[in-house]
Amino acid sequence: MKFNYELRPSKPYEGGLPIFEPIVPIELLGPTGAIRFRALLDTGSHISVFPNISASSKHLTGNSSKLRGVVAGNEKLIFEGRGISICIGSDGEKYVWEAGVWFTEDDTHRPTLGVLGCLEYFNAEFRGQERTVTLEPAENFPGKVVSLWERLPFAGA
Amino acid sequence: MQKEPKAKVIETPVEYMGMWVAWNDDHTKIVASGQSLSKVRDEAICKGEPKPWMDRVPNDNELYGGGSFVA
Repeated sequence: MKFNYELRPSKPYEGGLPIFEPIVPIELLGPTGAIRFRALLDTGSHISVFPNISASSKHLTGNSSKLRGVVAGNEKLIFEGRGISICIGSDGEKYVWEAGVWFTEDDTHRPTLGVLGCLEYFNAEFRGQERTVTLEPAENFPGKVVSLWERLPFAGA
Repeated sequence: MQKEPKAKVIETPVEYMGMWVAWNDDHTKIVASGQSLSKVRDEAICKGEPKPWMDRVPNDNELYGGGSFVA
């Protein structure tokens, strides 16, 4: 499953250097709700961490315990989301797995896919010149791979 | 010589730095933006985008990413 890097905005005084980042569209699926994010794929992040969804999607995270963590350089309370699955889809396939993900108490940082809950289950190839990243499920991938073509009524006919 | 990437690259305009933006279903148009994730998402849904893609655009002072536990 291949994803293109995205060009992030930067201001002229930074030198005008383009910054491309591996951003992956994902859907978080909870017991009673779902939300779509464009998440940064970050090999330097120990955890997969998301902003507080609050209000309309509060039930997505359920009850959970709190820990202290560091997110985007700032120490914050983080709480574990329970019963959360991540869905990534591209190229006619979907990968869906139940993931250990964490949420912060505010919404001021970027959705991030780190080692725990995401990269630990994939073989990832970052191709800097092409500005693409490819994810393939590793042997320990705990979820399922859904082919969107197989679900079509005329498939295999 | 470095080849130019063939893939289409999504570009987020600079005026959205530090904000939440909601993209439409095929990632071609920003339908709402602001400082609050839930408000921006609700606004996108009200505008007829039932499942927007929520994106936090980093600001100049957001130098670090990622997360970890504190011992």
